[in-house]
Amino acid sequence: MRLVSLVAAVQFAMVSAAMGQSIAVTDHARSTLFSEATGIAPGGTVRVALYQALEPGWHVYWKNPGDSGLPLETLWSLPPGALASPTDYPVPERIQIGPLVNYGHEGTPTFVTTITAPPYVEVGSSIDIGLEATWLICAEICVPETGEFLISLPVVAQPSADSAAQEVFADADANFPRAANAVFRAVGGALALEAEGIGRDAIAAYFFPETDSLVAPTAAQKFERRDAVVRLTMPTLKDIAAPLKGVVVVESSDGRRGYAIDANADSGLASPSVSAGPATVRSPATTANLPSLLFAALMGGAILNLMPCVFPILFVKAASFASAGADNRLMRRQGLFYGAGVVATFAALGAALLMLRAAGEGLGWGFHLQSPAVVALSAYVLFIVGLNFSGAFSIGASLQNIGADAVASAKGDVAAFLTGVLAVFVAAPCVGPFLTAPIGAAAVLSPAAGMAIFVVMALGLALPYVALSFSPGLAKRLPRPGPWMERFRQILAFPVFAAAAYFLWVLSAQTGSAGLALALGGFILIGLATRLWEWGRGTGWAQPAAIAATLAAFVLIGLLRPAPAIAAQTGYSYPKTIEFDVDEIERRRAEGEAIFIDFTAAWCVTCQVNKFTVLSSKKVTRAFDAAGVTVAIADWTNRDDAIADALAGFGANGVPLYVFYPKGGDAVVLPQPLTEASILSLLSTQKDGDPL
Amino acid sequence: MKAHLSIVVSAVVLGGAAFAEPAIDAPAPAFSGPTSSGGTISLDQFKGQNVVLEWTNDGCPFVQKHYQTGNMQKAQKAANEAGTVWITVMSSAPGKQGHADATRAKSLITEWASEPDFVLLDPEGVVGKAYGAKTTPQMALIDGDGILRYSGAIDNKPSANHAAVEGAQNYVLTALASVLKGEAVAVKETKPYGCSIKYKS
Repeated sequence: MRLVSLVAAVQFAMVSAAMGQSIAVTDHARSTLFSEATGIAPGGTVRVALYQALEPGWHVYWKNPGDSGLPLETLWSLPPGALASPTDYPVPERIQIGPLVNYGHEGTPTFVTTITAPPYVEVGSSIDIGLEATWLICAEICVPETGEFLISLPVVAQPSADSAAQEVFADADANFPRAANAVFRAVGGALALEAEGIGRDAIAAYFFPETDSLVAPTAAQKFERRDAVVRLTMPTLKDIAAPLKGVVVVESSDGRRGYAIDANADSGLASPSVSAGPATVRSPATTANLPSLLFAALMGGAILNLMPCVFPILFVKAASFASAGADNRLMRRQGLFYGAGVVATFAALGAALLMLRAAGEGLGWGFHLQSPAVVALSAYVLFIVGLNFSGAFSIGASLQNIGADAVASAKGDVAAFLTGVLAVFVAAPCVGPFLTAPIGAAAVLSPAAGMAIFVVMALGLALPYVALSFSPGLAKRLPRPGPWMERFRQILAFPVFAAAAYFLWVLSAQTGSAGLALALGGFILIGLATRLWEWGRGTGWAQPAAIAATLAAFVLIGLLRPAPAIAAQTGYSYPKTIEFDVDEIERRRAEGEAIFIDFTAAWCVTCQVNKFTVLSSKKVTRAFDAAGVTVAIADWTNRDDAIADALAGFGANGVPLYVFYPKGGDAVVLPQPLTEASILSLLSTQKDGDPL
Repeated sequence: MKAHLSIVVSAVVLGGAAFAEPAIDAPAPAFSGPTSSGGTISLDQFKGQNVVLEWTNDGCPFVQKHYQTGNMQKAQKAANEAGTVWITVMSSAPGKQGHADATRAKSLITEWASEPDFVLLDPEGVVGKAYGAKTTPQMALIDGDGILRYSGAIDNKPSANHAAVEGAQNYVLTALASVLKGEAVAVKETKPYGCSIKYKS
């Protein structure tokens, strides 16, 4: 039964051999082959056009047909010595079929080929130009059609234009893309393309790559314009090699125009940051999954409360509720100030990040920790908090009285707000695997959606404590204060000292031993300050002196100078490591090496934990060795735009990130949390076929 | 607790992706669905066996080329003899070309003298989209460990011309032979050719 339609579809059309024209009629198209001239000279050329009038609603395909479809296929029959050029295609259109996108033509597309006659043909003879053309024509359903054409052209000394074909060629020429200059830059799964002189009145633009499977036809392309320069940014499916050919279509109020480009790579272009994750990352960030991203942000923020960086500070704060006891109103007030501190800090960092990224800075989450001053400041603050917990000095009264005393005052409000600020700063290195997806998305979504993610994350962090402050019943169930609490507070001083020590280690990675010496000098000044504070209790002189000593410690921060980071790169038991370098990695991949990229930073606790527990384990080391994998270490401890670009290319916006390139294969982003098992299974697929 | 939470996070993030490009040499997307014989199959029940997925649409001339020349039936026979599970997938939406309910699917199989192990009915296009299936015919090969080893065209002759079956290299059978020998698949991914799949949306 289906046979009938097939037979109809592949029917061969009648051949009419009028002199300069030949017509084929099929089910869904009427196709004509025209010659531009009425004759051809010996050794001369003539253009021939395949003009197709398609049934409305049906389309044929461009040379890159997109997600499905086939381009025009031509089989020329020419006398010996005659040549047919490659076919020129008109400017393509995007044609959406359900979830797929095709590149093709509707209406009356015209395909033009240049025929060259051999020099030895004699004037007075004739040349037969035969064509068997096959095209796939589709509405929603598809039908392959074939037409046969024959034009017989006399060989003449001076061929003249065929007036009957004039209009067809004029239209065809108007619909061909014009040439334009363009350059591109491709980095880690993303492509930026800039074409000059074509965009003065552009309101939209789209790039049709000539080669298929370079860019997903369904992928969104970000359009920007600088005077007449059109810039398009898009995710890529594979590596892009120069020259990059295709057509850029520009839309303006005057309609659409196509420009053929043949672009070379230019490393001077601003690097691409795509609006949707590249196809190699299987979780494109779109506004569609914003609700789930927000949920993940809320949960991740709440979990941060349990992290060793944050927990001690919040516990001691919460314990003050127990002592504040009866006054619910003040408790709520303090809870809200704390929440405001958290949200304001997160929002400020988020806004700074989004603005700097919009300005083209290669930054990502944790960027503030790339500043040695911020790291040293965090170490100082934690050291002071630790000293306070351990009882080396106290502010105001003893813990038992803090609630009744401080909560009521304006000082209490400020203290609560500052606790919120501190919580965000100490939480940043602990962000880890829970929040990488929402934070990565925040950087590539619209600013509004990005800010929403940051604020919801802040709400998650603030939530447990604020909830506690609003439920007196819960707060009452906290253990009663007593001497045990003083002891517990002293114990909690030690995780806080550990966090301070960690920041010092990060600082040493950023600024070398000189920076470390400065910071330790600061620690001594702070130690002195706390003693002065206690000695001077009740007198007028010592507390100003203590504050002066503390300020001196902070002045030392101003002297910190970045030095090449080394510490984040130590501690790998695996010997075959290289520094991250895009060109070097490309070169090694081209030579067939398998590459594992560890995007890391000294200030990233999760990265360090993964390095020591997973990446340096015996099993993983042995497996890397057996599979001949080179480990590239992308150390983001200090600012590095190339690494930020590469992270963006994988849809990430912070560390850690682990990427594996199998031999001759495309990038695989490893799931987090990182486990030995996931690396081993990845490597076992790599060893395909090797005897085990 | 920690592991549990991160699973939730990654699941919600992946949940938003409609049309996936599955990674070769990585675990194949899991699926389950109704068959023309009234049962339900899921990918994980075939652990230990190689599985071929074949997307089809009886109205598509490219599919007709392979069935009317007996090429597809020949490939099925070769795969079956090697103990492979062959699943024909119909992802056309109701009312569109190639859509089949269980009854129509069974009569098509009889008409074609085709012998797949199962015909998976996918009118919502869920399985098709999970595998990034774009055309009919389109093929996928999953090995016994559930790893996707091949995805793309059935062979290297993108044409609806029946004569193009002669001398064509069948990519999926070549990939299957490599998997059976424990060798690496040389051609893992090709651009599929044929009619676009008539998805619901």
